[in-house]
Amino acid sequence: MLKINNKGKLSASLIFAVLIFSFLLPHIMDLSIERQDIELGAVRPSFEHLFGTDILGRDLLARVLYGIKVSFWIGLSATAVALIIGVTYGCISGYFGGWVDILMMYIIDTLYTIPFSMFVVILMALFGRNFYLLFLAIGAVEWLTMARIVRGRVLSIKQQDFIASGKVLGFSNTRILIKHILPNTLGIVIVYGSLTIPQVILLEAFLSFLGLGVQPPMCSLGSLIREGVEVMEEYPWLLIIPSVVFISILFLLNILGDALKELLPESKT
Amino acid sequence: MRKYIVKKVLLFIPAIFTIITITFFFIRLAPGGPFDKDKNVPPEVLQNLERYYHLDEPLWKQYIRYITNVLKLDLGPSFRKPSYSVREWIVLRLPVSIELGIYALTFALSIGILCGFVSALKQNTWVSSLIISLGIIGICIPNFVSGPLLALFFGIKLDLLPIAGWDLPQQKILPSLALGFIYSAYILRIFHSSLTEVLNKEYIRTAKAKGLSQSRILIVHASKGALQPVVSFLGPAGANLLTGSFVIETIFHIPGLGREFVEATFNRDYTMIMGIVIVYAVLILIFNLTVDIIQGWLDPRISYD
Repeated sequence: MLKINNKGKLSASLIFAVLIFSFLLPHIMDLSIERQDIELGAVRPSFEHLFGTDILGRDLLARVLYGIKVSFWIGLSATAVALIIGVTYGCISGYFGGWVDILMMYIIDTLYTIPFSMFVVILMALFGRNFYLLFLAIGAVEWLTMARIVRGRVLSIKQQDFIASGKVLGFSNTRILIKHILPNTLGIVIVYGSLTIPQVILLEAFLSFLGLGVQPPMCSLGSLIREGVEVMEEYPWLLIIPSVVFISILFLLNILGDALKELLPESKT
Repeated sequence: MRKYIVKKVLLFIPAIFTIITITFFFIRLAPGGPFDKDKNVPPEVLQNLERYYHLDEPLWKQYIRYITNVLKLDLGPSFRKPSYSVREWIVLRLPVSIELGIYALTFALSIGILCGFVSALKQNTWVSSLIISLGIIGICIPNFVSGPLLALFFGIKLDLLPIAGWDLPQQKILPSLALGFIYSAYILRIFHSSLTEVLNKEYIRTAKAKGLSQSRILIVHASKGALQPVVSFLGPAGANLLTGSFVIETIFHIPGLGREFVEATFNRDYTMIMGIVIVYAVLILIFNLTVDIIQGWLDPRISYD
């Protein structure tokens, strides 16, 4: 894991720095996402307000930092949901093989053809905009690829001798799966998990942009961009700053994901 | 080949049926109804409304009624737009979305493939590294960011192009660019790497040894093989294009089906949601089939059994 390339190291440290800032700065600078100053209104970036303020006079830096935290929080928890479903599904499908595998993979292939983002839109619009529902919905969309990848890995692991000896020793299927196969999928799961995080952040921002994601008084980068669009003619910085921050974060996460992907044995051909 | 297409089309039927069933019950499970937002509706009126739309019947009866109507291509009346049927509304709005999608895809393919060619021709020069870096940044800019930024700079700051409507040709430029932008970056990346890979193959070396020009090798010999990964990317991209249209049509005030879908979900217009989901599912299946067929044409080794 230490052989990660320099680009990957750099982006990992930058992501870490951004996260530290988003946790510490609000305390150091005494920022608040809710404190309004209607008389002040929207002002351009200045020393007082580094990113300017929105129409209600709320500090944009505070809101962007908060949005970063929300994006990462949803990114990590929805990825965790996707990992749990995907790994369980992939392990069972790959390990038991035969008709179980054929059926389970057929289900995945069918699900792939369904326009999932439409269902997420319907889900969020009809079932209420609940924060927990949000990452459950996103996680439920993103598990498909993970399940496929884990299944492929399990298929190759189960051919190896140590699994056969486990069977000879009379270990139960559950024990072999959890103690011997699962740890061997860890590498690929971490790498694809890290590639899933930016996907999740993207989907959350898309939903928040439509007004279906994070609800006020909370905010995420997606909802900030949406608010920026509404007033972009008069106050362009309210659109530009959150957009640039959002693009940069996706960029760093993608670079990190690509660097991790190079560590997998499959890509070293 | 014909057998393969027939088989695929026959497989459409259970897929569409499943999608209709899931969506139908999914929507009805949600709390609240389509008339909740109308304040102060007298109970008698509400009762009449529900009777008119058959909402007072048991769910399974409504489901059977709906399926029978769909088979007759009748998608029912819209709950929120009483003067229209859902089918009329879709016929009105769908062409706009398809037009937008075609422009966006054309833009994405031409820019992506052109840049891919240039970067492969000028390998290891600053031109190629510039194009590659732009591609990496490009895939980090989703529609809902590129759309507003394009509108801000070309529409508002430079005042070059209008940013709303869908009647005049110049109104169609910015939305198409915004929708196609991220796909052009993806296509560029995919095409660049597959082209570089193909260029290392032996038949290309033979072509070079015969003394053919660099551009002839690229266009005639390398591109057919290198286009395959691009075409397989188009399958999933088609579905994403639809999702992108929700955002782009909302930002640029385009009267298309994507904006209609978002509005319908917000208004709980059950029949409209169902109708649009069915149309989208059919579109995606047709699109994927087309991609399959093109792939077979590009690579005769693919068998269709």
